[in-house]
Amino acid sequence: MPWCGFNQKMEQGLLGLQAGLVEHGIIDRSKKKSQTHEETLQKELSDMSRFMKEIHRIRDPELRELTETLTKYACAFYKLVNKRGINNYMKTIQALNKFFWEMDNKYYTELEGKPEDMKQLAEYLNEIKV
Amino acid sequence: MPMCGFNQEMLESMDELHEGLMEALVDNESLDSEEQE
Repeated sequence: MPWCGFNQKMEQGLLGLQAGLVEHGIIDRSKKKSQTHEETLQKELSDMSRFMKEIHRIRDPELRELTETLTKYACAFYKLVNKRGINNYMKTIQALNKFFWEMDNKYYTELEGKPEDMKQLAEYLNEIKV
Repeated sequence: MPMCGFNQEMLESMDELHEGLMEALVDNESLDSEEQE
């Protein structure tokens, strides 16, 4: 299952987390530190990159994997938001969540149980405009 | 900070995401059981 089916809670949870990453992590932080969004974002990416090098020290395997995955998610999300412009962050979030929804919909309506289902799904995702 | 600091809303959103993941799992298990019957 690619995402085991997006339900309302998952969608809302993801939206809240992503919005928080921008509003709390970048916008509010920039105001508090009297620096530009770009400076704050680059600092966050730098911190996360340094943290990634030390994550191997987390002993519990599931906690290590979850922490690593969450940090990677935040990094990639910030890079996408930066590419599209921080002022457009809500549009970026909506487009990204639509991308995930399309992934789920494609799998559950057309591909589940078919040979090479995941290969076809990954290739299909190249066709979606975000 | 590695995660730019979690605020309350972000923590609640993570709770919601995790709950949603679990509910989807339970729903899928129920569907699988029905199909087997």
